[in-house]
Amino acid sequence: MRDSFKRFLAISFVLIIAVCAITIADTVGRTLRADLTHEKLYTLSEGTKDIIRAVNQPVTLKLYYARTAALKGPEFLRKYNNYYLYVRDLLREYERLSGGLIRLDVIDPRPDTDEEMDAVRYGLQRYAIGEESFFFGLAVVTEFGQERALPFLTPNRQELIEYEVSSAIYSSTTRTKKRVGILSGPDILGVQMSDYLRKMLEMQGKVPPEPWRLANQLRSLYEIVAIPKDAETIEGIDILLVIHPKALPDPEKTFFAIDQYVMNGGKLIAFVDPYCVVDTVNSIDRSSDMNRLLAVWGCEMKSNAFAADRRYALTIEKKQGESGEVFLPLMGIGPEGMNTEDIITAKAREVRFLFAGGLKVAPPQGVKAETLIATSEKGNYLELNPTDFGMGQIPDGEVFLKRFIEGSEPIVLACKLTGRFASAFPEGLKFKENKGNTKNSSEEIRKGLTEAREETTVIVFSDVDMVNDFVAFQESLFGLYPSADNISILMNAIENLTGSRALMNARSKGKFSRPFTVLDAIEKEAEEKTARQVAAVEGEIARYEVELNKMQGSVTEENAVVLQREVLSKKRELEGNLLAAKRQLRDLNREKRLKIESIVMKLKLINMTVAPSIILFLAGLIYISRFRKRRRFRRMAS
Amino acid sequence: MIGGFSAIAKRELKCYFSTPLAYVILFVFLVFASFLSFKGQFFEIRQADLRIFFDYLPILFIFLVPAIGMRLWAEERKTGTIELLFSLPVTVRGAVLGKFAAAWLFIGLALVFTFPLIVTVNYLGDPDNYVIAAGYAGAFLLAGCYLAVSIFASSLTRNQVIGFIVSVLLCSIFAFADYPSILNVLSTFLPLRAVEIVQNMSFIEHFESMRRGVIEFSDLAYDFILIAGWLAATTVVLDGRREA
Repeated sequence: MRDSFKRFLAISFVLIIAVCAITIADTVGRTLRADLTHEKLYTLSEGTKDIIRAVNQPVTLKLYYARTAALKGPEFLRKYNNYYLYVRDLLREYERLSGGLIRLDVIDPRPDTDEEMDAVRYGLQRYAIGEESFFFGLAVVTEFGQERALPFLTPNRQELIEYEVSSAIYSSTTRTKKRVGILSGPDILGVQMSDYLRKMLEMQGKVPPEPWRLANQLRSLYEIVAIPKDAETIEGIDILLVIHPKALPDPEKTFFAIDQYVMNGGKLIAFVDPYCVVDTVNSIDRSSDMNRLLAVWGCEMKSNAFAADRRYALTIEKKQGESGEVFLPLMGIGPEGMNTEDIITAKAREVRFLFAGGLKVAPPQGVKAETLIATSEKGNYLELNPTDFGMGQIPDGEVFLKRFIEGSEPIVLACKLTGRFASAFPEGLKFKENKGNTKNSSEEIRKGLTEAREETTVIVFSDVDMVNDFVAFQESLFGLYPSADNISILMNAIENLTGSRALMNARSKGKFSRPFTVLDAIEKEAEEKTARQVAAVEGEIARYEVELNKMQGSVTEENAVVLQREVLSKKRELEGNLLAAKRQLRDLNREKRLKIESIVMKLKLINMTVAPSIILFLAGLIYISRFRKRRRFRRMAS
Repeated sequence: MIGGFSAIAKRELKCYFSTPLAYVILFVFLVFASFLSFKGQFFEIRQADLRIFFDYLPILFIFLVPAIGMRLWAEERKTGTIELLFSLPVTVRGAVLGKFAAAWLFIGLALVFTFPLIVTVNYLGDPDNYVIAAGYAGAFLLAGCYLAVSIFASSLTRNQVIGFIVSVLLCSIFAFADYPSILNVLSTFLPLRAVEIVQNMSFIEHFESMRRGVIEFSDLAYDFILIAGWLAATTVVLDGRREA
């Protein structure tokens, strides 16, 4: 009895020492680690390290995670527990590298406490779990009272967390913000007001325009300067964004102002579009271009046509629950379409475009043109046929699929021009000056610079929708989140041109996704192979349906008896044809699916049988050799 | 070298391949490992990594490792060979370590036989093979932890089935120590710091980083300390038996 008690004590002692040692190792050794991932996903980037080095005042990172609430929550919150540990460790790295200036506070806000009140005050999102509130957000608070918040941290955005934290630290500690001028056709800046006031106005039937999410993101990092559409001069800003330049009171005057801004060394990022789906200015003509200026500077947008590429075309859901259809105007350009040598696009994984135009790049002497994003070689233009868009409706994907013919060279969707540009207004601009009434108006020629004072950069994107919430963001359970790298590359471009490279390096963090390229390629190839057949069969189906409807419409009470037999037999024939065509279409789709399924089945079979077969084979071999040995031994013994 | 370590390890390893049980365990493990991965939508998710395989591994180990570890001491005690073993010039520590090393290597071999999955992801895409290697290293250490617990359970009894059940139970507790439902129950009577310590004891939590491709000192320390702790406890139990 005494011995067992001794043993029990000894075992307990060993285990207690083990628990203590683990706890100590966990606390002390947290920072000792090796990140083996190819993209160094779990190591702070150089950009972040630069931002941390530049911090010159005490900053507190308040990580709110409702740990107790999470414990009581449903099982799916487990992934938040894991993600919380990842975020906490990442923030500890910030703390460790800051030399004492950054401090991390991990807070578990319980209901009806000051901590909970603080979390709400910082603007963190709260979700009710029974009697508890679930919070998972970060507040960055500086000694000078600056506050930035990341309202909710979700594992879906793990690849962006470092950028978001660095950006919050950067914007709260950088006192002089860069000034970004925005000149836009649609009201992208919206009207900023409290939710209460907005609701009041809505109740009165007045709906104030809401800012684009892009505008809010820009506001958090930069000082935004709204440039009026009739501006005569543009100055006092670090960079100019021109987004969908249309409905300008006097386009020539505005373009002259932009031209002279660039001649004075100003940096410009322009978004033009042959068909802007989110255009609220004019629902019939939804195009905008700056060819008046861009043609002189080295890149012109083809009008009345949009770029399409089967390789990058995305699938959209027609109706809820139905299978998706390939929609050529919506492209998700992958890494192969990006310029990997330019830091702006180097690490972008996907950029989405909707009815994007094509840029013809022909730089004049002294201007260097660089393609940032392009379609594959098989990309081609599709005419923007006004009849397709009757009543402002966007047609079905098959309308475009039927018309699409593969091209032979890539279409440029974004390009960067650098150099000393020549003015698009070498003769200056004729101004009409109104003196009280129209009769007294006189013309005056305003001269400007004919050549840029210094080298500057102009970046052109041939799509506007790409930076609108509609394309750049998508809904999730916890609100909108970026659907692709659209906003990220715009931010990269702004920082690249305005010089805050540290933040850009923080953003350009690697991504997790490593798709099954072989299956994707097989799917694309099969789609390309059968596309023509599918389009032809779909055309046939449409024709049969029209004929059938026409025939049914032609039957009246008078001719019913005479035509009945003829109509009925024709109808039967057409219905037969229709069924056959639909069957053919099904077969084509099945063929595509079967190819993938057969590869998957083969791989499953190989995986499930190869290794167990080896084991069985080895077992068999050993059994046989033993059996032989035993027989030989018996023989020898007898 | 610790008394008898290599001799015991060699004998045990040989022993594995001379009994059909080892082949059955290997066979079942490999079939289930790939079956669970495919059931977990390995092909539907279309990502060239072994995330899903590593997701299921800790659960598979709960049954596989105790099945390997259950006989290590219980069998010796049942057949009475334990007395014979300790009459040889072998220390208890050497015997425990030798048996542990042999069983651990055997589990390592089981992991090696999952190579078709690595070939598959490399054929289908461009995986980060360093992350996969770190995942396997983590899985091997994880198996070591399970095994140390199983050896301890095996040393407590002469009945293999009881040994198996006790080790499955202990392994489950350690594997799921970070599950919210378990932590929730504990938080009703334990302070938050103590709940955190329990969560920190979870096998799966310490496997998480390596599975992602990050090797942390704290995880390595956890694995080795835990293995050493359970093996030391096993030595204490067996020492008592030897003296008795």
